[in-house]
Amino acid sequence: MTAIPPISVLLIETHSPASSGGTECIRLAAALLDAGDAVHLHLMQDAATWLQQDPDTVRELGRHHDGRLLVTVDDVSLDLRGIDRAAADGVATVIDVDTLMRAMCEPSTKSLWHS
Amino acid sequence: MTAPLPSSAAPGSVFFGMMGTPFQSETVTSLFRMVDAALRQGRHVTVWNCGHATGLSQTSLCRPPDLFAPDAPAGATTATLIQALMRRYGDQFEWLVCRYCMEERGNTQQIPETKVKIPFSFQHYLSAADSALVLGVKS
Repeated sequence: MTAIPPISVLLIETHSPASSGGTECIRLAAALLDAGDAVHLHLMQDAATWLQQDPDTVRELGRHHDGRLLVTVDDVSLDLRGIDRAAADGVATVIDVDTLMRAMCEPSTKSLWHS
Repeated sequence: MTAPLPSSAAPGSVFFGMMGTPFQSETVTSLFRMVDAALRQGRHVTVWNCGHATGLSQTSLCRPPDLFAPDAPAGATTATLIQALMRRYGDQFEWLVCRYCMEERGNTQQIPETKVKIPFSFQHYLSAADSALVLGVKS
């Protein structure tokens, strides 16, 4: 059984895919994964709309880097936008801010916020 | 198969750098949600504010009436929210403001709980924390 490496980079995306620079974090995640890093991509604020506007890109990213990418989405960001949590099925795991903080405080994690 | 979420992390210290103009999105809300979560988990939290974020802790802040709830009591400002967190968590929470950014923007009416720091001490507080997140800079 292949050991799952620890999450090393936490990318917090706040852009929707349609906004200026909205795909930069996805491209950065792909580059980090290609380089062999483990990535936790967290969709927060307007980035929650990735689940409605372009879930295939996120899903595809995980398919190519099986086991090294974790995609999560902020529960409050979904609720504020009226996005049904079912939209996350098969794309991302819905988490609360407490879980996000625990992930951020893992000793091996480097966190990046994309404004 | 996806990578797993951590089940727990040992309490440590967290540094948040709040930069630029945080009012154009819900970044202030996100910051306070993360600060509150970290404090509840027993972590020591330091928030460093640069740019217009130095205005978050001004005594002169006021909040317009909520037109959707005209009978509701006056809402809290970010300054009163900081003070409430200070009362609850004491020395576990620090709110730091960059002197240069504060003076340049005229944000000098700070709540007493604010610690005004010289810009170069940013690195000191950042390096001292176990975890760090800098947010609010427009790409």
